[in-house]
Amino acid sequence: MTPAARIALAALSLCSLLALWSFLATRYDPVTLPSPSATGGALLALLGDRGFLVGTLLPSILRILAGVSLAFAGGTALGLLAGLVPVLRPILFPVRLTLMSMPAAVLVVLLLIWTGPTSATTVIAASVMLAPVFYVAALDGLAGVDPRLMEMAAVHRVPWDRRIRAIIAPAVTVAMLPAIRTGAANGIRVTILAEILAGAGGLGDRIASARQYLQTDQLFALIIVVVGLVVILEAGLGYLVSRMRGRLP
Amino acid sequence: MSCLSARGLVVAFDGGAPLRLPDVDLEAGGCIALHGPSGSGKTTLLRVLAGLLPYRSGSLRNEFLRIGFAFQDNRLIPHLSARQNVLFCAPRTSPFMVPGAVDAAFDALGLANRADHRATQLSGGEAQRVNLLRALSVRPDLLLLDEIGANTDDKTWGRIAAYLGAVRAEHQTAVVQIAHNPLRCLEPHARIEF
Repeated sequence: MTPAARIALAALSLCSLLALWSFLATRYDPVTLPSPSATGGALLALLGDRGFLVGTLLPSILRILAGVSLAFAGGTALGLLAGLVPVLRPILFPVRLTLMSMPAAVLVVLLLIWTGPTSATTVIAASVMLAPVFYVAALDGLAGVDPRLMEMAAVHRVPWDRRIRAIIAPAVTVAMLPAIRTGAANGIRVTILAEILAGAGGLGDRIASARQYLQTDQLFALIIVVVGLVVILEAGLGYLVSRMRGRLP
Repeated sequence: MSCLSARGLVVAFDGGAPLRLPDVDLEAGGCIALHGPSGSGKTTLLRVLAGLLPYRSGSLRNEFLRIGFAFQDNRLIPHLSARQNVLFCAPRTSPFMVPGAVDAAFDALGLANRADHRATQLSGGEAQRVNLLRALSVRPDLLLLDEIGANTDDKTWGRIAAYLGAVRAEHQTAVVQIAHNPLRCLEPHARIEF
């Protein structure tokens, strides 16, 4: 399928969704389901409000970045370490399994009990939930290093910095790229969830307030902002990944 | 006095019977050809001589300082160019670190204009020659060649043999080679049958 055809199909799908939404909005109370035009108005009002952009949107973005960055650094470092020191794998296995199977909401509730409803809670929640994703990816990346190439480098006594640059790093990067995309998108979801439950400001807190005061048009507008964040992030990372893939095995 | 001497080497593989390898003696500048059917242990012997495979018993004395190994399966790094693959192993003292030397070597082996192609874009024969140049990039005093002429035509093999002849004459490089086809084999001082 050509790119133009894909865009046309996506646009058709979006238009159908909007038409269905408009139709349903005529059937229900605006508090239950606001119309697309009311939601659009609320969205424009939000995006034109400097207080929202600086006081609500920016803190959420910074928390997402902090949470994903911490998860990436910690998870990758532990994954590489466990790849090099195999005895660490069974030691870390129960922790990884617990974190990967625990629902995000449960972790956030526990963190709220332990650390209180602070900004740090949302960052810690995202980093703890996502770290196992990067841990597994780094471990898989190291396992994917071609032993025949390592043998070739060993027999020719190639310095270790060259082996890391040319053989190990590309193999790890290939495994890390999908994890970064998944991790970043999940980082948004977990951070917003933590903000909703913690009430510590940000987009999630604003969503909780809109729900509480039945400002459904604002609620829908906020959801569109969150979806927009995911789309922008996915597109940006997708572009970076495709560029890097060209230079990797 | 030989620089390389292997006596009574026995290797063992998981779940397999121990394999007794033939004795080897090799002097500086010497050349040995290993012949025998597939699976008889020729590549195993090369790997033991290269220090890549441990042996269970026997003795191995290796006084060669730098080993170059042209592998049968090439082992080029797929995302690097042919030139980068050759320079990957090259130490600072490598003859290929002299400006223009890599291009001259590529030219000599009929690889002109292929130096900047990715390893994955090379044909089997081209990859084999890049593999050979990489082994030579360490300026080896012992060169291990595993079927390097398998994918070459007569003309290309002529180039390879001439190039290796010149390198060996200059550096007194000893060679242990595997070749099923006697026409794709450097003239050996000794042959070992498996």
